[in-house]
Parts: sequence; structure tokens; C-alpha cells
Amino acid sequence: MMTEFLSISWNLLLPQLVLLSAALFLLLLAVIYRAGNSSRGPSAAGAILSLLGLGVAGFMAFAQCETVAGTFGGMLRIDPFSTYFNILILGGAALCVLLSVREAGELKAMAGEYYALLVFSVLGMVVMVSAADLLVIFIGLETMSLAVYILVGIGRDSESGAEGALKYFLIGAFASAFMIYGIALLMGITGSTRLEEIASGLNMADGGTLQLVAVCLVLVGFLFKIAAVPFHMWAPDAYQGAPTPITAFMAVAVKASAFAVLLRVLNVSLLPLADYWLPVMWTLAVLTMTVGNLAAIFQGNIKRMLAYSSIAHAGYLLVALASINPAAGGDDPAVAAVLFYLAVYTLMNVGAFGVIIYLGGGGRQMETLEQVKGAGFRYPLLGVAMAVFMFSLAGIPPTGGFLGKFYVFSSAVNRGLISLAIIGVLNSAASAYYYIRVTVQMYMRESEEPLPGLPFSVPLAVALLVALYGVFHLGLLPSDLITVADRAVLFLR
Amino acid sequence: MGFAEISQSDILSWVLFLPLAFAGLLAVLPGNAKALLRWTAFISSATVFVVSLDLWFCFLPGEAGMQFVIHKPWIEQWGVGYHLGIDGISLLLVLLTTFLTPVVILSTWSGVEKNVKGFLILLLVLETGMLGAFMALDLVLFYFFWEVMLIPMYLLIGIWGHERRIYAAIKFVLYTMVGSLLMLVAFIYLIWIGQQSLGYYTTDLIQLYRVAVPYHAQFWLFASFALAFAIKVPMFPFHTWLPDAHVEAPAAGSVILAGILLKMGTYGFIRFAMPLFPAASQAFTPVIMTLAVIGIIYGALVAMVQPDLKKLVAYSSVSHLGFVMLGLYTLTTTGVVGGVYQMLNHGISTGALFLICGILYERRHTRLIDQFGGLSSRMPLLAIFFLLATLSSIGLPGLNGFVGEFLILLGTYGSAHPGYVFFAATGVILSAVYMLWMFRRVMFGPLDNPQNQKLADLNIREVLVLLPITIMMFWMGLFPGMFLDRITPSVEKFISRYNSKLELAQPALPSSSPLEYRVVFTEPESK
Repeated sequence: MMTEFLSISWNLLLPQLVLLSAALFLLLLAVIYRAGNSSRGPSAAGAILSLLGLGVAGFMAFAQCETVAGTFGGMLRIDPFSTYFNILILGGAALCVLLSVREAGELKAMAGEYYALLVFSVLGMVVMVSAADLLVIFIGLETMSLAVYILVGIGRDSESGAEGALKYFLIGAFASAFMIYGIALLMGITGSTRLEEIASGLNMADGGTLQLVAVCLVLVGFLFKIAAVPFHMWAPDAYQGAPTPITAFMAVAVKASAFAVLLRVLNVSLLPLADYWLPVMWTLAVLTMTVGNLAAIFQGNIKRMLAYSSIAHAGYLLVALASINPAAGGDDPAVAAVLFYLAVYTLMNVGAFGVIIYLGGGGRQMETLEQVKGAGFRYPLLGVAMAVFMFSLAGIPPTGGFLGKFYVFSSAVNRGLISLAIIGVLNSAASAYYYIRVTVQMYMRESEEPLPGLPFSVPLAVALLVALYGVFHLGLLPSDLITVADRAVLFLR
Repeated sequence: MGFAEISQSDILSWVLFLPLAFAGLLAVLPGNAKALLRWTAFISSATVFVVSLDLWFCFLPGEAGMQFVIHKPWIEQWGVGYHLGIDGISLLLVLLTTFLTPVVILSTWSGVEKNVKGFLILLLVLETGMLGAFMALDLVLFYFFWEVMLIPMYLLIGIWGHERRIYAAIKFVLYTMVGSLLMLVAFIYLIWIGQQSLGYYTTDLIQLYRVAVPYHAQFWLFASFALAFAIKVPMFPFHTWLPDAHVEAPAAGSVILAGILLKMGTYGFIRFAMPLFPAASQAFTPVIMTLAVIGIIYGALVAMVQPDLKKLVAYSSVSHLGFVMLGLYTLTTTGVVGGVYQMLNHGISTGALFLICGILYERRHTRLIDQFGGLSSRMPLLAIFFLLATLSSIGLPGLNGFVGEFLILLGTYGSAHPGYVFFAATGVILSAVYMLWMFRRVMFGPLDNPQNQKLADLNIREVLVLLPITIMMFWMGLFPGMFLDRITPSVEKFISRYNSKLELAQPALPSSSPLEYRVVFTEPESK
């Protein structure tokens, strides 16, 4: 027993362990502050501790970028693919922490729990993307989800927050139930929950229907997390109700980790069934893009609009999933496109939500599109930043959003899915309408009331600068990231 | 020229990015120092023009291929390169851009008072976008600049435009986006076909010229390229965004839009759509020539009944760009050279007309023709410039417009479709009708509107705005040879490439049935 314990390579788990201890310290911090009866709450300390934890974990993950190894008897797998996502998720979460400082401050004593929950959910994510076993994936997914359910409703006075959290939790619980049932069925059919063994089990088993039912049930769980249509109903309410930094966190980190796992499951376990799920992905991609974009056009609430926009972006990513080539060896451009797109997507969403949070600093909550009227000239730097993020989301060069879309649609065309690419670009043109409407409000309409001055916020400014730099860097000099993504993909299959 | 420190090979990059660098300089200047901003922007754009003159003097006139080429890897994984170069066709369009920009900036000194800094920055960014689109020899790079142009123009219309500016701005963006995104899919598909034929991914235009695209694919690729470019030209029936955009845009925006942006469409045809897919282009020739002729006559007829000065000039653009398209599709050296020359002429003469519209609007805050009348007695200087611009637009011999139109008509007559000459010539007559009628209503007749009694004539700045353009009208009209010498070799190369690829495509026709072709394209990619 002891030798088995020692044979586990704990050093591979350093990022996870660092996160775990950071989260526990944060909980402790909350208790200390409560005992001290401090009126200010542990917002600043919590943010610093979270950043420290995420940073050290990120450093550990970065040190693993050459590592290819399994541990815990093969239940966890550290390879460049998981490392890519670890760093992406940790980076996205760190940016979300920077966005959180003011909102968490308003939570007063709850701020400690806020950061602790955030780090716990990141822990769930990094476990999930390194998992090579469906049960570990499930544990990671639930760790992440439970924390995020609470974070959505953490503003206890907010009615829409409570509504969003309840909806998210109830539908999420259903999805988890579907998924665990699917895992059970797969275990029954193939005799294993290991991703690789499932693949060989599926090859041999010929009980077609049951096999497909099991796969469907598992996929439903993931599709719920990425908010693919028709599993998206929770997203607009949860996004609108949650504190804005948490909305950003859901849009970037939750989505990225869910896509990472989905990619791994599809490419490792379910590749033998590609003929079945590729058309499903095709249909879901079309539905998700179209519903997301059309609904976003009619939103007057800016957070709700960005929620539908993030649904639409999940649709573009599904285009890449529908373009996966089961016959390709390791270097499938479709998978690399997802990796690249998610990096760009993280940066531009953090940026867009960051500007909204910044604009809310003048004592009025940013809710509707009407409220950004005239903001472009009143706050020139924020205005330019928001315009850049909107153009990037719309996929207009020289931003990363364009190259991301180019990558995704190239992979579709390379697989002969020209109609899918055409539907995709038409969606992209439709989406330009609502992204551009934000710039219309900011620059081309006058505000009825004088806009207040905004207090300068260092953490927000840092997050926005990072996002802005990243969006341009990936739009102008993407080669490095493409190389990294190409390499990460090699270790997937 | 005294630019020894700029190495010859980098000159295109300098011309391309100088405006952007100057825009960055403007960004750090204080926003309320309007005079400083205006002078800086003017001197900057004038500097860019002077630097770009180096291109004119160092250009080898007899050479048909690309010159000043810069070719560096950019996104190597996708075969995307930073590939710039100009030939006789793009040389003059580049110079037109660098020439018009300082003129436009000078013209906005009194018209734009709100957010001067943003306005000037956007104009300079727009200049980089336009120059890049004319210089790019790589599909992705071209698309980059093509879309980069969109944003400043959208903001110029939307922020500094007139009453219905937001509607016009959004319409402009959405029209262009739909076309260009479909073209993007076609780009990707073409790159894929190139990979099949060459064995590696490349987005390099010169290499893709060599790819023999199967006919079935050519058809759809050409259709989507042509749609994107036809929207930009704009060809009938895709022109409906143009009158809105022109009328609502500020004067400077209209000048840039008409003078340069519309040329992107026709330039796209001659640089991309036609040489890449000659067989499909050939099949589409009757459609395009018919639409061009419809555009010529329809634009002229609609222009005739416009009560709004800017709308009239906008519809005249539809008509004139129809001439350019007709010239390109004659596929005779004379006709294509005429088409290219007409692109420049239209930039000059319509640019001048929109500048004059802007000058009138600044004084009277109306664009309606019946609000004017008899202005020539109050504004004799303006009357002279206006008359010259009008005559240049009509195509009076001795001015630039004549050369282009005459070459196009000559080329059409010598082409495979001489019948179109009749309709095109009708368009020439109609343009004289509506332009001269408009001029008479604005400038002559009784000066009966009391608001027109006190109008001041041009000031020195406005004369300096109009003078260079007017000089160019005479120069290009009296000495077309020095321009045509540079255009002709490149056009001849364009036509010979077009014809040789056309011959190549013929025997390939039977073997490119959809079925067989699909087999080729579902093969797993091999690296």
C-alpha cells in the first residue's frame, strides 16, 4: 500500500496541489477576517492570494510543457494538450480575478469565499482537462460546476442572480445525471471507464443502439456545459444574473475546459464512432451559431447579448469539431483550430466583460445597451478597447478573432464541408450587426445624462491591457501559438 | 530622389505603414489643439505622398511584372506571406491614394469641428488599409487590408455623417461584410485547391496564378469573388448601399469612398477574380457586360432626376464604374488600359465633385440643387473649378475623362462583343445631359434665393485643395502617354495570362465532372 502511494508521481500533480492549498488558505482567510470583524472584507488579500495560487500553478504547469506521462495508474494524463489547457484556464482565471476586485469588495465579508470558490472551480477544471478516465472527468466537472453554481448566486440580494443560479443548478444537475448514467452504460458495454479502453471496447462491441445511447448521454453533459443549442437555455439567465466577473469566468474558463474534455473524449474514446457523431456536430454547430446570433441581435441587455454571443462562438467551435478528420494521424488542423480559437476567445471575452465592469465603476450598474451611449468619446481609451474587442468578436482583422475564424472555417473547407463554412460566415456577418451596434451606441449616439467620471482601477487596467495586447498579438503574429497548438494536438490521439 | 536611407527594397513597407505611424503620432497629441492636429495630419500625409513619388520615379515603365517586391514569411504554418509588390496597374492606384489623402485632409479643416483628432487618425488608418489592399500579393494579407478599410470608413460615416448616418453606416458594413465573408470561404477553398495541385499550402497570389482550377470549382469561386467585388464597385443591382453611404458621409468620406474605395472592386476583378478563374470569368462575360451597361444607363438616368447634389454624383459613379467594368471585360489591351485609366479619372473627377459638394454644403448646409442657382456671379472661382470638374466627368477632350472613355469605347468596339458600344455611347451622352443640366441649375440662372446672396467665394485653402486635382485633370488629359506607358505592359501581361490559362482550362473541361472532382477533394491531406 505504501509503495503504491509512493509510486504515484506527485510532482506531476503540482499545479493541482498548489491550487488546492491556495483554495484552502482562502477559506481560512475568510474565517480570519470574519473573526476579526473587519468591515472591509478580505477582497484585496483574497485577490492577491488567488493570483499567487494561480500564478504558481501556472508556473508549475508551464514547467510541464515537455512532459508526457500518466499517473494515478493512468487515471490522469499530463501531456502538452492538457498543459495547453491548464495554462489557458489558469490565465483566463487570473484575468477574471483581476476583473473581480471591485465586485468582490462589494461582497464585504463574503469575498474570502468568493475567491475560494473561484479557485476551487479552477481546480476542478485542471483536474478535468488532465483526466484520462471518465470518472475523474466527472469529479472534476462536478467540482467546477458546484463552485460556479454558488458563484452565480453569490450576490444574495440580487433576484436575477438567484434566478440564474437556480436555473443553472437545476438544469446542470439534470445534465450531470444524464452524464453519469451514460458513463455507467459505457462502463457496462466496454468494461472500463478509461478513455483509451473505451475506444477499444467500442471497437469490439456491436450492440449498436445501447452504445449510441450511452454516447449520447455522455455528450449531453458536455454540450450542456458549453451551452450548445438546444442545451443552452440556462446560459442567458445565468450570465445575466451572475456578477459580471463570474459571467466572464463562465464564458471563458468553464467553456474552455468543457471543450478540452469534449475534444479528448471525442478524439480518444469515441473516434470509432466518428461516423455517428460528426453529422450530429454538424447539426449542432448550425443550430448553435444560428440561434445564438439571431437571439443576440434582439437583446437590449449587454450581458445577455454577450451570453448569446458566447453561445454563437460555441457554435463556431462546433464547426471545428464537425470537421475533425478521424483518418488523420496526430495532426488534425480542426483540433488545433479549437485550441487557437479558445485562446483568442478567452482574451476577447475577458476584454469585453472587463470594459463593462470598468464602465460600471461610476456608481451605476451597466445593464443595457442604452447605457453605453456616448461612452466612446467620454472615455476614449475604454471606448477604443471595447471597439477592438467587438471587432475581434465579429471576426474583423487585424484582431485575433479573424484568424481564429479563418482557422476554424479553413478546417471545415479542408474536410469538404463547404456548406457548413458558408453557414458559418453568413452567421458571422449577422453577428457583425450586434457587435457593431455596441460601437454605434458608444460613438454615434449622445448620452442623455452626463456620464460620470470613472475611478481608475489598476487590476482592471492590467487585465484590459493584457487582453488588448493578446488580441492584437494573436491577430498579427499568430505563428508561435499555432506551433504550440499543433504540437499539443499531436499528443491527443 | 533623396531617399537614399530608405533601401529600395523596403520602400513599399515605408509607404504602407507611414500613415499608420503618423496616426499613432496624432493619437498622443492633445485633442483640443485642433490647428496642431490638422497641420500634423496634413504634413504627415503630404510626406507620405512625397515618399510615394519615389515609386513613380524608380518604377521601370517597360516592365510588366511586379516591382519593389517584398516577400517575407508571416504565418508559415498556413503558407501566408507578407508579400507586397506593385505593377503598372497598382502603381497608379497607390499614387492616387497618397495624392488624394492630403487633399482630403486639407479640405476638412473647416468642415470637421467635432472630434478632429479621431477623424484625422481614422483617415490615416484608412490610408494604410487602402494602400495595403493595392499592394498585397497574398490572399490573406489582401483580406486583412480589405477588412481593415471597412472600420475607419464605417466610423467616418457613422460619427461625422449627416442625419441618417447610422443607417447608412450599418448598411455599408453589412453589405460589404456579406460579400467579403463569402469571398473568404472562396479564398480558403482556393487555397485548398492550390494545395492539391502544388502539394503545399500557400496563399501567395503569384503562386496561385499558376494553379489550374477545375472548371466546376472555378464557377463557384468566381461567383463569390465577383459578388464581393461587385458589391464594392458597385455594379447594378448591388449598388443600393452607395447612394446612402455617399449622401450621409461627410465630404471627406465621400471623396475617399468614391475616389479610392470603389476602385477596390474593379481592382479586385483585374487582380484576383479574372486572372485566377479565367474560364468562369469568360462564361460570366455576357452577364457582367450586360450588368455594366445597365449600370451605365441606369446610373445616368437615375442621376438625372436627383434633387440632391451628392446623390447625383453618387449615381454618376455607378454609371462611370460601369464603364470601367465594361473596359476590363473587353479583354483587349485598349479596353483594359482604358478601364484602368478610367479608374484613376473617376477618382480625380468625382473626388473633385465631392469636394465641391462639401464646399457648398459648408456654406449653405443643404445639398438640394433647387436651393442653389446663379452662384457663378457670387463665386466665380468656384464656378471655374466646378465647370472643369464637370467637364472632366463628362469626358471633354483635353481633360482626363475623355482618354479613358474613348479607350474603353474603342476597346469595346474591337472586342468580341462590339454591340455594347452602342449602349455605352448612349451613357456618354446621358452623362453630358445630367451633369451639364445640374451645373446650369446650380451655377447659372437668376440668383433668387436670398440665402445665396452673401455667399463667399473660395478662400486660399480651398483653392489649394482644388488646384492640384484640377492640374491632374489637365495633365492626365493632355499627356496620357506617361501614364499609359506604365499601365500597358502590365495589362498586356494580364491579358496574355488570362488567355493562356483559358486555353489550359479548355481540355481540362471534360475531366472535371463534379463526381470525379469530389474524389480528388476528399482525399486525406498529406503533408
